[in-house]
Amino acid sequence: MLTSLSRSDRAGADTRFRRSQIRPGPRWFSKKAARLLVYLFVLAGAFIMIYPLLWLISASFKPEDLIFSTSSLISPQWTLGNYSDGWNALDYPFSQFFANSLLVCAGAIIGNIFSCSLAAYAFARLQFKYKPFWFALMLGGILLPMHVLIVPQYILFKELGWIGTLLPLVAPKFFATDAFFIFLMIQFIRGIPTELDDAARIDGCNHFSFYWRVILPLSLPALVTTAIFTFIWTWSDFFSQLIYLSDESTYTIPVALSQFIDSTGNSAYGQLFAMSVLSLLPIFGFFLIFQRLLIQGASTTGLKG
Amino acid sequence: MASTPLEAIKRYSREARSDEKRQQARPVQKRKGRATGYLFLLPWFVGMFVFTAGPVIASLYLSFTNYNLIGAPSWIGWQNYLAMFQDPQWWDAVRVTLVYVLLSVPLKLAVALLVALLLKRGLIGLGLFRAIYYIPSLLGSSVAIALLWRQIFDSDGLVNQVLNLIGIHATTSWVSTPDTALYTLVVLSVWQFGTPMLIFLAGLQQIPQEYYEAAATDGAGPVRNFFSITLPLITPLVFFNLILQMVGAFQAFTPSYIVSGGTGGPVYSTLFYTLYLYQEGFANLKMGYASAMAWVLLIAIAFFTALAFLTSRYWVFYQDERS
Amino acid sequence: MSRISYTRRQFCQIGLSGLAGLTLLDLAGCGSSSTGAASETMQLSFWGPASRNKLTQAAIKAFEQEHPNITIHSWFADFSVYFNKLNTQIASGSIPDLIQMDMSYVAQYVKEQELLNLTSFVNDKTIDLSDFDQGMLKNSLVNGVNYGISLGGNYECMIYDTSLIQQAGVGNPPTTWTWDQYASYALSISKALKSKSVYGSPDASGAIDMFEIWVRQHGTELWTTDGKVAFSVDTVASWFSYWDSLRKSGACAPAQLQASVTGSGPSSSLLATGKAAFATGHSNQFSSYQDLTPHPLALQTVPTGAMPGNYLKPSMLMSIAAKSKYAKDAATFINFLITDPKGVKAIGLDRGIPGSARARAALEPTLKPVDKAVLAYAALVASSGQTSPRTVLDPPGAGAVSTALSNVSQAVAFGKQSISAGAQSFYQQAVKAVS
Repeated sequence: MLTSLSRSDRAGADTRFRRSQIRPGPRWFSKKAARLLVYLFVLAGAFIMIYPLLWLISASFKPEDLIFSTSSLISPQWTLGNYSDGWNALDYPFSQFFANSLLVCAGAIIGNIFSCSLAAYAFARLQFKYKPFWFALMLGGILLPMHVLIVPQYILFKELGWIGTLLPLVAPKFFATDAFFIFLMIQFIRGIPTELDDAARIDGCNHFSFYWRVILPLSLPALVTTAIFTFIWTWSDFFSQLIYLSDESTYTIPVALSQFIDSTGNSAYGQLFAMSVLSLLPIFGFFLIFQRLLIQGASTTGLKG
Repeated sequence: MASTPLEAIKRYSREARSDEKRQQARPVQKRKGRATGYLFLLPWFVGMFVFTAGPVIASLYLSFTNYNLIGAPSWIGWQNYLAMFQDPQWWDAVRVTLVYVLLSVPLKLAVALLVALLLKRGLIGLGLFRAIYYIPSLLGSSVAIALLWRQIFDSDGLVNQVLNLIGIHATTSWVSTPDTALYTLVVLSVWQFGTPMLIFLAGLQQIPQEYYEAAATDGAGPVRNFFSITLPLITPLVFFNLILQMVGAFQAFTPSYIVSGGTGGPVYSTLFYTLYLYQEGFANLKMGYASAMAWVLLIAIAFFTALAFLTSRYWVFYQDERS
Repeated sequence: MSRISYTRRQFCQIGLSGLAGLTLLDLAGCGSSSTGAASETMQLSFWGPASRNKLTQAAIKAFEQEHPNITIHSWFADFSVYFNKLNTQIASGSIPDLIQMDMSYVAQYVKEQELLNLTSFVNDKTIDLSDFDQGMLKNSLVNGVNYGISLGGNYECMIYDTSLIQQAGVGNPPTTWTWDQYASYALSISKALKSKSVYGSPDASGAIDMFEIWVRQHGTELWTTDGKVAFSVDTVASWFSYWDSLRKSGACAPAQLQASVTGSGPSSSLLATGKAAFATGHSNQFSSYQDLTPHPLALQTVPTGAMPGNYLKPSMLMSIAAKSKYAKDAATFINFLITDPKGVKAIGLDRGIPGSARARAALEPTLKPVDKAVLAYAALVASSGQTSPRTVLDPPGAGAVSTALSNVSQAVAFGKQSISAGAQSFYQQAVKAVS
């Protein structure tokens, strides 16, 4: 394949506009072989990626004393006990924690998409005073580790009376506090050619209309990416959910899972793994559905041929 | 109105590589931008000043105090900062974190881009593969991963079993030996390349297929395509991923916390900076010292980020810029 | 045209749905701490797993039935994050009425005047300590004053796998033994079980509780009464030397093996993974150790030295916040937990063996063989003359000393530091941590 490449390269280097026909024979065959090689590579890689998940699933079906003694994926004994026990191990059935997590994630996703895209449009497309300063400030916000900010933030939320509710986890998202996503969308929007802005201006479109009807649909990949990451990070965010939630009825999944751990005694690993597997299903499903939108989003805007 | 932008983009994309046309392009109208800019930023301003600025300023204040959370803070001036530079564990944390950043970030980005290219299109079960390659990132901060990682890299774990299969006789416990423990965490980080991969995938989708078709008529192969079309056009995302992975690596906490059991061991070899900060702040009730450490970290990250931004003009190509 | 009004309408729609969303969230989060008109609501915080929560909720329910005007809300978390959550709450100005407290932290809270002095409640019998174990009581005082009631006590112990001992054919360990006797005993096990790669002893050089016993046997406590380091560099060096000789002879696990069991708790021990015959720990962890293996385990006293080293340590205290509005009710609840048969039976032995004699009697029928073994061990140690009451409290920063010991002992074990350099390093880190 390499020889055919250099041959065509040399041919192409002579004249830029000479069309070379796709020749059947050696080149076509090696292209198919390359495809197969790639496929095998991808398959092998997929196994490496998925092995831990397989281990986790297999461990969730093992009785407690076999979890660490047998390292293979196949176990001499299987049990469903971890799932039934784990579901009811806490004061509420696990469905309660699923519902809470879903609520928090839904709020966070809507908040992030709405507020971060607005801010990103401003930074990417509009001119205003002190723009570089605000941009630096925006980036600076994500540089401080969460552990030193959480105590002052907790005090703030206590003054607002939000401790013990789900508000501290959701409300800030409606105010673009995740600078990561602002930055992500800025990069996407900057990738959209400005000729569109000119065309829109000719048609008499104002900024918000342009943002709403052109930029937002065109940056659907960025929005979907934002939604996916917000969902995944919020779904597994442990520390702030631990700190802000006090009543067990409001607990989200990470906090609920942590209650299977006992650092002074024995943790209930089987139940922990079983509930962890269950809690992975929504994220996995969410991802599986939305990653298709990444492709579809691009094709509906007509960017793909 | 729907057809006009499409026509415009089709018209202009064919001439995008032509220099003369670029010079002829009109500047973006800036007249109404100012007030509108602040209007669009309104939610962000509220978020900034209510939820972020207050705690940020509070943490700066705390860095000049002794604060054990239970009592009130007491002012001690620069003592925390001075103490930091004389703290051998602080230097351990700095060294460990720098090595971690310098190794994991480039590796992660390279692997993410490679896999994104492979999973761009044209494979059977593409959606499923993408989801599978993302799974490690989903499992990321769970206790289960920590336990599994210790198992895999243990003396009789999977890694050594595989090495023995291919003839290398390996008995070290990679995760329990000070010289190698950090590298197992680098591997853990690189293994979770799903996030940058996803971003690259989204960006690769945005590259118009016409470019590749045009290149094919010129006789370019896949390698030429990559270096002449793909790579330049996704440099904004390479830059984005670089910044975010670098910031994330500097702030990494969970891998070390769960794999080392919160100790940063063996022998401080996995003492990430934020882990040490967490130990000092929450376990040893030295929140003032931890805040000072946080600000030093911020300055360091800001420095490296600024460096990246300054050099970006030499290798990042934005579609909305005029040369 | 309607373009402008269209966008305004959209803005309004977004705004309204956002508000609706927030209201929904507020409703969802609501209902966590509503109080009735005449009733009193207290907050209780404790650490432990979900199983402990079930027991605690049963106790709370039993208490609320007898006191219908009192409601107790509680939150709990694993020990590793309990104080994070508690301290964050305290930093914001709110504190639970009833706080489960650990001996390593209590001095700090007393210093900041967050905990209530319980002497008056003890004196007027709101909290009845008339049949409480005096040794446990003495060891739970802060500066001689009662700031929390011990819910259970334990001694440092060694735990061994009887089946491995049998396989090694070395006979049972003696009732009391010295450090050298332990070393040679462990060596004989290692030699006998070499083919199975089982070691007699773990490398306990990084275990702060065992180190404390060593220090106390050399004449001082870990700390002075004003919270400074009381042990010497030489004591540290002798400690490291002892374990170095065990490593060299093969009596205890080598560096890499010991480093592979990081973390706390019985599951992080070489005994649990079957790689060592012995483990060190607290006596009330015995049942957790036994849960981890089908082999029968047994308790063994720690090695003796020139002076007594062991002491009865409260596993946890129940304290009352100084600012609590319902101090008397909180004290009544504590009394319910430690003396009332309903309360005692509800929380069971989960938090340790109770200090009150009648509580122990109430639990007598429920004792399992492992529990009886722990009681027997406690009685043995108490009468052995090898214990002396601890006269100091852990100062703030004691946790850092524990981490430092773990890391430096590993450095010495891996050969990265010499014994004298390691001793110096640990000593300096300890001094800095409590300064």
